[in-house]
Amino acid sequence: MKILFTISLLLALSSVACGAEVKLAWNASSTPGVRYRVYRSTKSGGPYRMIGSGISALTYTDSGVFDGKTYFYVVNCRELNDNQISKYSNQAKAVIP
Amino acid sequence: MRKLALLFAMALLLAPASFAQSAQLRTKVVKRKAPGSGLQVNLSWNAPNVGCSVSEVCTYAIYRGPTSGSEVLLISGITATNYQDIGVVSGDSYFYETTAVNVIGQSVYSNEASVNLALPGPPTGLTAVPAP
Repeated sequence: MKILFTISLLLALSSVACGAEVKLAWNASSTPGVRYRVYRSTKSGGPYRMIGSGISALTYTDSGVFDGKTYFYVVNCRELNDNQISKYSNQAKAVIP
Repeated sequence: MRKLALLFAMALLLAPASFAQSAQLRTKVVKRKAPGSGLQVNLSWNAPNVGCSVSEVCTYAIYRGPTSGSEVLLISGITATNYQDIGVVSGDSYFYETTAVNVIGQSVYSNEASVNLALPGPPTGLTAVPAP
């Protein structure tokens, strides 16, 4: 049982271990003073799960991806002073080789 | 003659709108604590220097409009120097003014304060590039 667990853990690790990651980039919101949130889904159109928030840069690196999988990303932003949240950006697709 | 001067002085004192709403009206947009969330606008102001005191009880009226100068009465009879406007909709702009009202009459309008509840623009041109 322990061996099986170790093997499956190693297998799981090996699929991440090759260091697959997705580099995301987007254009700034027209509203100044916002922070960005990055969402990911394995299905086109969502539902999306937030993987990063409070981002002030216009890039994000997702290193929690697995080989052979396809991911869909969207980004939105939050205004700092009144907490209003924008609509999602366009959806971007990443196929991990 | 003295009587006339006294009458004149009294008329001045009693004239409506003779006291100024010197107070600075301030607005702050906050998330509603109430269920259903949404936004509310917290308004606060100072009592006028003249015309409102323990012996001269004042109430306040709030005026609201979608554009500058278009304010109409929203609520009157407020005894506190603050008000929470929960009747606001995300995406809209609101302009506010307040006046003080005592037994003599109504003060001039305060400064105009505004909030813009427009949603922030969404980010665009998202790209996702796998990097081995």
